[in-house]
Amino acid sequence: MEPSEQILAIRRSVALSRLPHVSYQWITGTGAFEALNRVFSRELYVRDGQLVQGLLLDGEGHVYADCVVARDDDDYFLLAEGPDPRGLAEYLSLHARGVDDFEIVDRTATHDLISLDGPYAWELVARLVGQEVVGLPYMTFFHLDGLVCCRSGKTGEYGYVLIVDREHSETTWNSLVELGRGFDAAEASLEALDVCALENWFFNVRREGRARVTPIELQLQWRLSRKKSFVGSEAVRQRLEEGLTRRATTLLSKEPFAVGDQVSLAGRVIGDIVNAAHSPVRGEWVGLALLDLAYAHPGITTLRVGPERTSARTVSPPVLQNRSLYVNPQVHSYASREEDEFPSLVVP
Amino acid sequence: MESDLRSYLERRRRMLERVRNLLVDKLGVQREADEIDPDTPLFATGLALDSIDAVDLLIHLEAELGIEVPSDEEGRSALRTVNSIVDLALEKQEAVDGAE
Amino acid sequence: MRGDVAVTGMGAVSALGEGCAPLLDAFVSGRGGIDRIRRFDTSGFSVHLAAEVGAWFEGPPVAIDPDEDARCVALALSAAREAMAEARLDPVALPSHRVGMVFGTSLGSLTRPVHELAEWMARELRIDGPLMTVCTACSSSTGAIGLARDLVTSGTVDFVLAGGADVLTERVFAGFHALGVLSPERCAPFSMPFGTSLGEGAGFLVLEDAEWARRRGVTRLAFLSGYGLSADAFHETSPDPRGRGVEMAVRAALVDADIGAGDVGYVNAHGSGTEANDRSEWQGIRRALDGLGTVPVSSSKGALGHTQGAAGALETVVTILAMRRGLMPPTLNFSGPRPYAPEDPIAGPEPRSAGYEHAICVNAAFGGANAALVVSRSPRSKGPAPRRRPVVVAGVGLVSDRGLGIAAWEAGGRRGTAGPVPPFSLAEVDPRIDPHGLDASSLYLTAAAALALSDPEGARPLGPRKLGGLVLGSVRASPQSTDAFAKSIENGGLSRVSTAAFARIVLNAPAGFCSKLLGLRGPLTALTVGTGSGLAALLVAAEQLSLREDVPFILGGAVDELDTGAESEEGSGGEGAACVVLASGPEAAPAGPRLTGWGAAGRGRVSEAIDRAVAASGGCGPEADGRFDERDYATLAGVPRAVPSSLAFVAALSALRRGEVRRALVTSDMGDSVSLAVLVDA
Repeated sequence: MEPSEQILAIRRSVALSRLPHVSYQWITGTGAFEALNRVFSRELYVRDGQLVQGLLLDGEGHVYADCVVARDDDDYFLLAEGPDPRGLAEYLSLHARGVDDFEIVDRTATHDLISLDGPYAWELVARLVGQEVVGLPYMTFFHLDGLVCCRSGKTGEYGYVLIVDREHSETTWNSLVELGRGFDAAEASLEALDVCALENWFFNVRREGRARVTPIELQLQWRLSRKKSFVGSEAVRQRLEEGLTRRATTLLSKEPFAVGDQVSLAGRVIGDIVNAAHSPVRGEWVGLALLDLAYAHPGITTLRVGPERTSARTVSPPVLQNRSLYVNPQVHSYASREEDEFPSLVVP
Repeated sequence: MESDLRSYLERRRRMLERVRNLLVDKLGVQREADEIDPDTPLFATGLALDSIDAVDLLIHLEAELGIEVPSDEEGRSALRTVNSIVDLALEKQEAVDGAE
Repeated sequence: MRGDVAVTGMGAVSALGEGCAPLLDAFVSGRGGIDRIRRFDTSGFSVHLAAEVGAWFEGPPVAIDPDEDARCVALALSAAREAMAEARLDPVALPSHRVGMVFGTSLGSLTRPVHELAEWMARELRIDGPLMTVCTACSSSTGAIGLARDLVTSGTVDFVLAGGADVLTERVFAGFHALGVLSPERCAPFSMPFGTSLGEGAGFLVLEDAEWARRRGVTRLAFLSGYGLSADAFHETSPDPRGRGVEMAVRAALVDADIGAGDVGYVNAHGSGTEANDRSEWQGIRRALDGLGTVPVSSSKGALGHTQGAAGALETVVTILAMRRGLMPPTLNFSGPRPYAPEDPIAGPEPRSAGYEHAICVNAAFGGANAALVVSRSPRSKGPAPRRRPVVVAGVGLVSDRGLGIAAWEAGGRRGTAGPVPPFSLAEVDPRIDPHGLDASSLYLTAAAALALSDPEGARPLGPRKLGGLVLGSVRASPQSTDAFAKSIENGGLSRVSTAAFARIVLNAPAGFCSKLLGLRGPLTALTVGTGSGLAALLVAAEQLSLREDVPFILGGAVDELDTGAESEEGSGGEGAACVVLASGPEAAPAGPRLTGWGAAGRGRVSEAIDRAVAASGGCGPEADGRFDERDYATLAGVPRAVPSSLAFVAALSALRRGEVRRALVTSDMGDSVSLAVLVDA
């Protein structure tokens, strides 16, 4: 199936994905909080059953990993994108030196992660694990019959990540594929998920995360604490003191453009592209550019991008009205989607 | 043309400041105004406002900025990020200016 | 044998009429009480319906201000008198100090400490036993009935009047309206559209020992065989979406009643009709009943509206009335199930003819306080009464005018807290707790509770946090939040009240925040007796803990917050919070100081309370060699405060820990609701 079809499934029904690029590690023991708190980029305010999005930085203040931390009683687990599991475990151990009583258990090799994303993902996942999942708020999780069900996702739609031990993951996957037929479910690749993340302004550590800038340029200050110190916090503070010169801003164009392309305004270069993809829902190209601060705002319609000096404009992301905003599990269902009225995905 | 853009960006920056200050002063967001990046999501992630804050946000947007957020789809998409509030506020401002 | 507790009298006032007879008639004929609001102008709102007690209600004259307080007391008095008459309870003929009352109300009053309403009622009814007021928003009277049961089984009193009352005020209506939870149509539980309709009224029960009632020759209408309390630890106004709190409350009630899930014949659900409540509540109930999804479930709110703090009592009255006639009350306004509704919602308008032995009444509230009752047709004839478990003091936490902790307080002399709490950050106590959005009361209580749970001198380990409970004693909602709510009305009018502030003007809000932030999901309640509330909370916590094997520990807390905006003496005096961890079970180290006995009696009867505490301790052990009375820790006479009585307890504990005394007696009798005594052994 073409990536564009996978993306349309995510936007209109539901898609299944495997997430082999995500590391899954548990941090246990009385020192678990301290060990994580030293590297986590924001206050680790997370109650039992909750997830919190944050970052792990390197000493230069650049993003090392995009991670979600969950608290399970007094233990924690994290789902991280960016580094490989071994590198991540080493990073955690290195920075937790001197912390007493904690253990890092890498479960990436023993567990599989399956994600379901789409306006009707809740309905498909409820078929598998029961109706308890309906109403699970964003960034929470629960245990159920040997699996962990996280309401997370990076597409702007209802999103669930099921963590299943490897022995049972094939059965779970096959059941979902089987149940998914009734939802016209697609199997989505990482490429498709990444396009959806871009459309919905979810941070992508493999794209803009590799731009050698701090989270401040990436508009990720909401994931940073100014009060605590953590790995990279000194570099970030320094960048703040120097003052911001560029900021990541979302762009749209009718014509293609690519990572590395320059963005100009009235003949003057004002930035470059750090993420780009075709948006089949909009029928346009969408991207993220690091723009000079003065122009890092939506609503500029006279930009040019790339060698062809294609016309482009800055916009406020998300670039679509996700159907999940309007689908209510207590009112709607995939079966009744034709009769239910929803706003169009794209506002012109 | 160039001056049109400059005045637009100036209006935009001013409105962004007002929205940021409102979030800090009225909604009790525990951040400095300059920590609130323009594309930050308002609910669930980002500023992590919740359903209780949503009502207070609407009230303050009307009281402080004079914008009535529609209760329909337009309203829902206006309340996604800091910038989406700014978009709506500028739109309403233009509508008022145009009428005058 | 553990004595069964019988219901021997009931009274009700609601939109459906004054008295139990019209209430039953309405349910039999399928008549509902929700109609256009007449008492105030609703043109500024998008909702115009509620279940008002109509102009037909005259009620006894009550000379207190403002009108809404008078109306609340009048409704309560009407229901209480009806219940007392049915129980043939004449305090003039009986020893009046053997009659107590537990009153439940949601807001009750915004202008006076709410315990005064119960005290007013007691004077009118000539009741001289202990009085308590439970304020856990919409589960207030459900919890009140539970705590009343314990007053009977512990032998504290012979009779308890238990129930609740609430009035439909414009402010409450505005708050619910702003939250977007009011239905544009008549409340249709489990059906469409989403939303609730508010109501008002009062319900009261008379509870007494079943054997005593039989000998007295009064009709035993039903038996209260169990109850359970729990916390959602989730959110100020939204229920836990999986209904785990409701599940725990129902499970605790079943364990308490010693019945199985299959014994439950009917469930009277909270069923408020809101989008968030009905689905999550039913999930919780179904899990607690081991997945028995076919149990008949109805909500009385389609008929009564959501009568707030009175809901539990009124719905229990409805359940008992129906049960006695072999009926199940219907769910009105049901026009087809919404997704995830119960399989058998007893769709109205007619009730269903069906005999059953046990019913469960469930209520859930803002702040996540859930309560469930088991009501039975016959006495349970249970096995031997469970042995009371030893109760150990496993930690203390204090926030006072001298800062954080016991040491700081002692360094300043073991005196009452006499001024404002110096500014502090929760991170000093526990960096894992998010302090965002806490008012001063919630901040103080949470800090005191976190300190208590990490008290280095405390007994460890405590057992799982998620099974731990919290009982809060305080005298009013946070002045900071009450002011914020009042200001939002001033600025934007009633159609634009601040929902964040509205969620915090209930007395139990600090308990809700504290249980959420610390992950305590065990028994949760909040009560007031005016001055002495801290010690009263400790007694209720000790009683729960000693009888419930499923609970490893409960915190007894107290909080006071200065009203810095007030010019009267309310703005002076002391503020702070105290929390005591009481623990039991195999996890609690036997080394800690032990609560060996506790007792309560009516106002001005502290010697009776002491006698009872001594008797409860088995009459053995040494004479108390240290007396710690609330008076020595109160800094301002005449202004009700919760913390001084807790400080007396903390002082006792500190003296015990230092070996200064071997057995301490802690007493409180400054308030007009209750006299209290606790014995603590080193």
